[in-house]
Amino acid sequence: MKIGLIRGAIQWLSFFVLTYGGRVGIHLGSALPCFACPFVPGCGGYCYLMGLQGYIGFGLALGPAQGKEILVALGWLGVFILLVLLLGKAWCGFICPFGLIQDWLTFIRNKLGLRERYLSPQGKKYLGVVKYVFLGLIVFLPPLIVAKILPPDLYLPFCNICPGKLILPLFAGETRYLAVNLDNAVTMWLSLALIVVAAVTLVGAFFKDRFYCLFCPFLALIHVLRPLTALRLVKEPTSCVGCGVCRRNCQMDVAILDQDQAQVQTIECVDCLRCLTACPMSGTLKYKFLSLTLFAASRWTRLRLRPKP
Amino acid sequence: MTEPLDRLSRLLLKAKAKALAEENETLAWFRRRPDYRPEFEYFLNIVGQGDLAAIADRAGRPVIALLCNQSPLELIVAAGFQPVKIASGSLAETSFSGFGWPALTCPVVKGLLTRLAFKSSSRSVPIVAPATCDWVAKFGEMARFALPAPPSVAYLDLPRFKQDPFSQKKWLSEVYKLKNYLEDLRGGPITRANLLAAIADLNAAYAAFLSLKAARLKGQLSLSWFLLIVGSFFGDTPRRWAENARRLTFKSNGSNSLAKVFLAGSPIFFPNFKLPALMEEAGLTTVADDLCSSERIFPPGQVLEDSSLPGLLASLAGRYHQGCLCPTFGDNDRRINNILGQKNEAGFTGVVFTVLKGCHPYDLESSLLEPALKERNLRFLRLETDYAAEDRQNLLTRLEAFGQSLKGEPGF
Amino acid sequence: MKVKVGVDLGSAAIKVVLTDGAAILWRGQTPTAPGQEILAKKVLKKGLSELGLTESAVTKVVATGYGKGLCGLAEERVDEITANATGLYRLSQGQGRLIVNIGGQDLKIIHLDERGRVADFKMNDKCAAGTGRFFELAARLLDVPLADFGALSEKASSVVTLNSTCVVFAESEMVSLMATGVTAGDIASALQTSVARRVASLVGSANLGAGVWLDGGPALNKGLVKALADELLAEVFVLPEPQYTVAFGAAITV
Repeated sequence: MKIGLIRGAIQWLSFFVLTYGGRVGIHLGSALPCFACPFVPGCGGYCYLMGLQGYIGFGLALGPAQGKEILVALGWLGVFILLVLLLGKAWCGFICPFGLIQDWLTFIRNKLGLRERYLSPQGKKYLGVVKYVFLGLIVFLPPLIVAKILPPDLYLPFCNICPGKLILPLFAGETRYLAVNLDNAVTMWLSLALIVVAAVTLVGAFFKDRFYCLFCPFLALIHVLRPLTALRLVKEPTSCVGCGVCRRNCQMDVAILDQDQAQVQTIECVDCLRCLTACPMSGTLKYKFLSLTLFAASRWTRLRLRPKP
Repeated sequence: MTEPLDRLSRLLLKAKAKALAEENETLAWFRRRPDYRPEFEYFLNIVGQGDLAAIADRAGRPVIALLCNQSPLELIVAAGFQPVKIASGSLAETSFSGFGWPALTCPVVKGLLTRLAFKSSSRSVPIVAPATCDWVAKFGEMARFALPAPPSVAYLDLPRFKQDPFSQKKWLSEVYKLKNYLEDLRGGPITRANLLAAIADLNAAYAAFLSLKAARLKGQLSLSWFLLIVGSFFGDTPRRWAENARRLTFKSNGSNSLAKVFLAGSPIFFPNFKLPALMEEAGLTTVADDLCSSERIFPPGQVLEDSSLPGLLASLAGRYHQGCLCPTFGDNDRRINNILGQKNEAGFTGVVFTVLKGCHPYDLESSLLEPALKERNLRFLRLETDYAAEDRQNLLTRLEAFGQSLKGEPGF
Repeated sequence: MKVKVGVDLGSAAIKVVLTDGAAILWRGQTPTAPGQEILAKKVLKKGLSELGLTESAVTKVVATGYGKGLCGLAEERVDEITANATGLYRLSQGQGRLIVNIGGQDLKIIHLDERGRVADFKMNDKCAAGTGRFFELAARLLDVPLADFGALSEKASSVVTLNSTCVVFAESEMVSLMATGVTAGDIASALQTSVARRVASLVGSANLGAGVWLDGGPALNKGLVKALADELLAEVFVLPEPQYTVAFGAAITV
């Protein structure tokens, strides 16, 4: 309960900072490991995926790259790694504004009493591959564009089909990505694709918690550094009775949460900590910053639903 | 030809009178205890379940009798029924020999069949039973064989393997079966609002249970009273029981027992308090247990991630199946983790494991647990017994010696 | 001189030990009968007078055994498992690690740690199989005093086996063996092996490197000691007066 409140508060705060921060002079840099969309006018920081495809990443791999620009790129890479090492997947569960928007959809679905649709483990496996395809776009397309093998309108290929680009700017009153861009064939197809992706994402996230997170390239990037992150979810398997409440409560339906093993933070995990809140075995799941325990599962947690008087 | 039947009836009447005397004796024993408090009177008054009609009157709703713990209580409450887990803790009921059951029959089931034979008011109460151990699975057949007016027993086919996704799916369909059964009895659908309200009621009971558990953990509530109060849960509506249990206040008594134990094994049912009484007499402080008649009535971890009706049913199914530590499961290996997980919190250094004669699953499980617990520096005492009092001395000697060994000091 | 008194009120006999805390100064016993407290007092009085002491010399009386609750003259009580461990550890000069105690109606296996504390124990459930009662019955049936039982079994020639340790079933088995002309010595020997086997099943696969200490009245039976050594595959030690270990242990228990 307490954890849920704290998490919610941080999510809202970060949503406001990242969406409107620029208007009061806040800018958190260009290497944020979450969907802090640069297409939002007056935003408070930039998503690293854009930088990676653009002027601080593979976008300058060819062409007139000066030594100074390469240093800047390496600098932002360093910042990104540092931010990931510091907070790990908390970027997804606590900070990402697009995650919060998906949580709103879950909230509405629950209020309407509609059931969540689950993906089969097989289906999740196949869909999970999509995030590597996106990573591929991010890594391989920018050099090809710079080399003029691909048309310049493909610039920022991932952003062009990222649902965040359409949805997040709406909160700053920017509606231009709702329309089809008829400048040329490339822009038309890209803007149409964006609208389709955004629509599928919204419908998907309405019926399945955090649907888009399955495809998010950040999950893959952060997961690479998981063994080294300071903030992380740990499990003590010797006090786990396997009741499965963690798995049933998991936003990402991580299948191994209730298994008899210590390492349960899979690539899908977004640190929503709903497993930890639900776990009735004191200390079995812990959220730790290095050796400091921030939150721990407790059997004494009050259950949320109270009887009406 | 009516003569043998008459004799059976007379034998039953005699057993009934003895069972009643046993209950009264236990109640009197509780009232005589130095730690008796007038606030406990409510629980003493509702703990007896010989007369299910009385419970129905008290709760103001019809009763559905349950065997075992796996039928989701929330669903039964949502359907407008009062769930009552029925079991026999009576020596008179258990030692009734009129039906010729095998000598090593589970006393709980055997006694229950005796009680159903003599309590006419209970006969019309439908019974819901998940097929846990062999005795429970055969209960319906035994009832049809022995009783002139057997109760209707609706079985849930409880899958024996709880960590297997296919078994979990199967159990979910059994929960839907139970829902349909209850809807037929009720004559209308169980709505999401019904279920949410029932979950809220059971959550209140769970919160009250936690406060009782906390009091016992701190040594402020003795084992006997804890078992009585928690065991009386089915005697009234969950909400009223919770209100009364929440009203109890506990004070620190400043004592810090050196002989803290965890109680595991076969269930202990009213009015048989032989073992808890002996444990207290031997100076053992029980700080936690995992008996299905006590702590496991309330499976922990109610979660409403998906609060749609199908979501709630799936959550309940998982909680009552995957979260259940019944030894009849084929993959119950992690039961030991419930003991180890509570060790630091509760500070016990020994485990008392009770095996009810005739209860084979627990008998086997004691052999599996003993070496594993000893390996983790917990002392282990296995006590095999039944409802009769003749082995009190023998048990007491063992419990006293166990307590001495927990205190960790040489005897001289 | 001051003495501590240990009273062991067992199911077969009441044992009284007077000690200065280090050694047994006097010990005596009487068969268990109704009025246990009076009986125990009588034995104690005898002991005091034989040592030339008065009741004022008694600093402490500790009771143990099944009847400990019935003994009003004791100010302290201790369970017989702890008392047995304490007594044997002291009398064995700290050597004892595993005790097999065969009492009147029970059978105890007690594991001690290196400081003489009870590490673990096992005890028979509601069944007197393999206990002292078993020997009593056999002695009655064979018409041989219990004390001569061990000597009798030494004369055993052929090996017969007794399948049951159940007091009731063993009786009929013995009767039929006697009918076929098997000697009393052979039956006594079979009986000891049968009890030893029951003990072995309770001991299980525990490490017996430090040997086994047999305690209680039946330990005086040399044939049983040998049978036990054979069944346990371990050395079996017996104190000179094994029936007083528990009472002594009670007396020196804090």
